[in-house]
Amino acid sequence: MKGYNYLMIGALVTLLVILSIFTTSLSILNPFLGIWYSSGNVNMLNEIVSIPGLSGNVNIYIDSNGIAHIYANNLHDLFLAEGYYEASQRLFEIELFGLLAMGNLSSWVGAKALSSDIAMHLIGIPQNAIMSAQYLKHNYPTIYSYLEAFSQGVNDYINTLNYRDLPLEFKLLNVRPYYWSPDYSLAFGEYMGWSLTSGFNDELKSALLYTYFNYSEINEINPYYPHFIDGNLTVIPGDGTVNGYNLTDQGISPQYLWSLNWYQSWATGINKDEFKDLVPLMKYAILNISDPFILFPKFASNSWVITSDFSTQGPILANDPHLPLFDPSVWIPLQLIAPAFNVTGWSLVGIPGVLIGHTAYTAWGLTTPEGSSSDAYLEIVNGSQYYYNGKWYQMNEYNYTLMGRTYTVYYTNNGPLVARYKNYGISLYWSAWKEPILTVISIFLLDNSTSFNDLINAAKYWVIPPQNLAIVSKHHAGIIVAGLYPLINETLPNGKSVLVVGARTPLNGTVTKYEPIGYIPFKYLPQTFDPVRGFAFAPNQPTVWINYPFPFIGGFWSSGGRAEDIYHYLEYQRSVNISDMMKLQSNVTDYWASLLTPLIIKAMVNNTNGSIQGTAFNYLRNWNFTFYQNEVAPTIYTYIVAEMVNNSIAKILNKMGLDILDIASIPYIVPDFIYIAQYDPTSIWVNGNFTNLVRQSFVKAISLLEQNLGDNISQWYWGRVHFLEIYNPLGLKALSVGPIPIFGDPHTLAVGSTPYIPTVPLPYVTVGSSLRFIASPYSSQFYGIFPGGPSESLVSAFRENQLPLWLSFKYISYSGYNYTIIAKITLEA
Amino acid sequence: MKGTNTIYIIISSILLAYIMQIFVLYPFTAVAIGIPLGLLSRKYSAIGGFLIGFLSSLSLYLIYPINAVSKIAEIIGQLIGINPFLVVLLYPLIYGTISLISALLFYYIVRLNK
Repeated sequence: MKGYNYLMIGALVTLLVILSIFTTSLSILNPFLGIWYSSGNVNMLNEIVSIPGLSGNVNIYIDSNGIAHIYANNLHDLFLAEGYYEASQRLFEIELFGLLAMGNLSSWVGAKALSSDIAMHLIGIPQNAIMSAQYLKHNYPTIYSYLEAFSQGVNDYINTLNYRDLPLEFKLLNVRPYYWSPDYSLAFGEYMGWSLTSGFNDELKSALLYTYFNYSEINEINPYYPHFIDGNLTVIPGDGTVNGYNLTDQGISPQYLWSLNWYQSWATGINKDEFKDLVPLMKYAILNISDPFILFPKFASNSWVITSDFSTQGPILANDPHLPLFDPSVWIPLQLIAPAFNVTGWSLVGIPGVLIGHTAYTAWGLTTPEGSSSDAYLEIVNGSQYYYNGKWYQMNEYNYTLMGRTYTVYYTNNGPLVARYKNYGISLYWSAWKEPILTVISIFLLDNSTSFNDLINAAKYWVIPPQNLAIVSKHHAGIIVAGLYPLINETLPNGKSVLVVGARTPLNGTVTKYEPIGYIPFKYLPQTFDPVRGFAFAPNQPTVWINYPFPFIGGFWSSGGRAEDIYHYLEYQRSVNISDMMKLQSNVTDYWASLLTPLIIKAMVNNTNGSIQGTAFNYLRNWNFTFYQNEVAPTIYTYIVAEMVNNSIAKILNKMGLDILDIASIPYIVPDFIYIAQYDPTSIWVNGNFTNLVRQSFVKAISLLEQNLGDNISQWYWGRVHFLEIYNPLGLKALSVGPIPIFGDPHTLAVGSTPYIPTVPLPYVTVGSSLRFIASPYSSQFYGIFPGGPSESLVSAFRENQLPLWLSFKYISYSGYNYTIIAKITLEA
Repeated sequence: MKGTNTIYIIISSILLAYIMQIFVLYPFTAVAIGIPLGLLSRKYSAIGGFLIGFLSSLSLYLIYPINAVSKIAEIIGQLIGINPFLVVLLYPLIYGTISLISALLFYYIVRLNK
């Protein structure tokens, strides 16, 4: 009997051991300590928390829209409380972006993030952040102390957490929060800065095109200025003269300069034949820094300002920056109040202060001006040496360790070497490599502004990324393209010299000639204050027209379709108000569709075959070019365009191995078609016959839609094929929102951008208006909305509380007064 | 065994079940539940072990709003590809199973010394 007992004991012990080992991974399901309790960072509770380091009590009032109003007695306590509050709502997101930007995400998610971490170091983001932190510490100690106070607030919150309180994602990944520091705030700023930086990739892609096609062919699909743009449509209206200075003053004719072939070796120092040998290198350079764990966004944004002469409510600002629509959002809404300091708006998580918002006297918004603020340089390398001005030099090295292995970033005189092939390399010149990110100073100055001059002064500190800073005060309005644009001294074929921004291809890095020699002086940055015509707008179109004194050779602008929408609306209004601006932000008319559709109709007249094609044709003929979810024509139009792209330009490029250009996502593909139809209908880009391309694409599109959506065309509405996904930064579908049927297309002001790829449904919209903001300091009216909420908790009522309003183009007050308090958090000294 | 002793054994086992789950994350802590239960008969130690482990674990969900539990279960279910209902039951089932085996183990250990 005892033997039987021993046997049973042995068997049961074995079973217990096996069961215990194999169920350890299910520990996170523990009903008390596990994922079920993930509200420690989220619940809007009335609570009193004792915080070391505060000099006085801080009150945080949460209003019924989830906006936090933080009241402190001094700026140190204010930013500390901001850090505490942001961590209490978004700890996981803050730390995820911090690690991502610092190139150490593999410490959390393993090898999956290794290439992302390497990319961050190749770009130089962690190195630049550390350099900037040291610079600020020594030269701007007060600003640095605010960064430290914010970090302390984050860490104070972390110190209140035990395992049970950790946000769910920490438990899923089985990681613990790390302590925050100014380095992480600055690194995330650099990450966002790089995301919004043009030049490097564009020059490489442009060079790849140049390798395979001739100059006139390239200009049809990759023009210096987008087709159909003129000086009425640029951010700064007029011929490009800024503060009385222009190209003509330098004795250079704009017509001459812009008629030159800027791809040639006189402009770049590299022959076309050399580029042919460098195709693999250029592809490596693009790929090596394009693989972050969370993809760098493709960006676009809208902003405009109205002067007091043109408005019934004083100067008005409207801004909606288009960013990846993460769940949770990268924005967190709040108001920061201390003596002589009162700012309301949206903070970028992990970075102290309000990035887009207003004071009682001023308001500001941001869009991306594009234009090359980074450049690619071709290097000759040998081992750890690079060739420069006829001599070999040792490259500087930066070593870092990931997952137990040491990696090295090599630096030439032009910046980090991001790719090598045979004896060649491509280095990245980005001003952030040499210049500390003083943009954080600019943010504090904006937050503390009380006049228009304060806003302009804040713009002087804005370094990276260059931004169209749209600014209004109670009586003035304007836009300034703030930031650092490296200048290259080019000698034109006629012997004259001119300082230009960027290039059409990588530049020869082995000689001094093409090195940047400074930046556009602040006085001559594109800028317009109280424009006579009553308005200015900046939705990523060219900032200046052709007589600008520092030509943007590397412009790489957006197509200007949204600029056309804004211009045509404002040009014909005599006086507007806030309500008009809200309507304009919700506009879903595609200007390019209004030009291309008649061309499609012209090509298809008397060429439809069968009732389905005939009905589809009639939908297009009766369309007013709006993209609402319940309309059919947008579906038909978009699939025709997608088939046109897929059967012509994309096919040609893919055949050449240039699918890396991702032409279907390039915003000026539609105006390119319109231009080609009007000026060169036998172009290679439309297979030699525009009309035939349209006819074939029409048939294919209708057939594709019929197969996937049935033969009842009235059911082919836009909301069946065009969806929004607000996605989780970790890429976990279960933590994302959507798909939601969504309005708009890539060229509507209320944007719903998706690449022109003929799949049903279309690729999900993942980038959009990350917030909408309308401000009128003169009338003290401030409205906003964003597609999210303050909390990252899955079970919080404030996770996506503003999303339904955002979807229906409604706004809430962001005035910072007369709000309804639903909870109060007191931080005690 | 006297009825009062049985009650003490069950109560101490229940207390151990809650204490272990509240202070330790891992399901193997259900082993502790079986220690007092080993004093009961084989049948009752097995039944008691499973029920105390399973129900104590399941009852802890009552401290949360049902909507929150349901939402998290749905999301975790999507992540790991199982039914949300099973997500809720999984830990209690494992906890109950381990405490059942543990109770039987201690039952046999106690029998060795008799």
